[in-house]
Amino acid sequence: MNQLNPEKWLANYGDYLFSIAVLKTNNREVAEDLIQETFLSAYQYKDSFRGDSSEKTWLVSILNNKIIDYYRKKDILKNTTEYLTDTDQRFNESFFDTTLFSDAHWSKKAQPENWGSTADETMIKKDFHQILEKCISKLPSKVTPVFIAKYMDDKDSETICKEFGITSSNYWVIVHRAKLLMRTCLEKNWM
Amino acid sequence: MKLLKNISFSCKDATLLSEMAKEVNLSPVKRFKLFMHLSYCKHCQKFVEQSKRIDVAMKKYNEDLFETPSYRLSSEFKEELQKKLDNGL
Repeated sequence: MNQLNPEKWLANYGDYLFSIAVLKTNNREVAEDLIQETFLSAYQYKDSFRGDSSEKTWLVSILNNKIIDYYRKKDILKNTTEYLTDTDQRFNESFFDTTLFSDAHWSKKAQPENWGSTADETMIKKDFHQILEKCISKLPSKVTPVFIAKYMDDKDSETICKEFGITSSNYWVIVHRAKLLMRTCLEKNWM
Repeated sequence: MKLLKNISFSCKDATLLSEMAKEVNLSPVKRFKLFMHLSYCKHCQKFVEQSKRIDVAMKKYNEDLFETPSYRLSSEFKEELQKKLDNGL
């Protein structure tokens, strides 16, 4: 059975939860508010902790619920289909060339470059974290929640779609866009 | 040209499907088209390979986040919140 040590929460998990909140909201002030709400809720409901998960997992799940509430309140997850449709042409044009052929192929300026043989090593080093963060922070606000949830929440696409109230096809379009944007951004900032 | 379109698809579709293929079972037709496309398109080959590297880097980033949090709360914020929590205990 896992137990809670509320007096140590802030010291043990404060910065970790704050980092998750900053990554997911891209806003330090919002993240601070969410952290405060998370710890206050956790204190309030600490008796409902059953001990079947770790203290860390329990706190992260409270934070994630607060973040989803925030997304809803800010309409970040709303009108995803309209957003993707409205931005489809502009987005495609920045990566793919639709004029030359009837089908979309990589435009010259967006074609992936060679990353070199040291890429694997470099990409798992701590210095690389800052470049990742910079690129994550540049993602469009409607793209960030899905991208971060995919990599940080350890949930499958079906669960994320349900939580966010988005369709599976929108989910994959967002993942695809996020990947294209991240790839280009990483290449620009590090190659 | 039409025949070519029927047996192949665009780089846009190929990159999208290559992301989906990591988690979803694609239909045999789509799988075959993706395989065909990747067999000749150097750009998409690079994308797929680099995308995998990004997956690995994000996984590592997530694993390291607890030990080395990227963002830190200010000490003023922590002190104030700790006071609030102590009062609530």
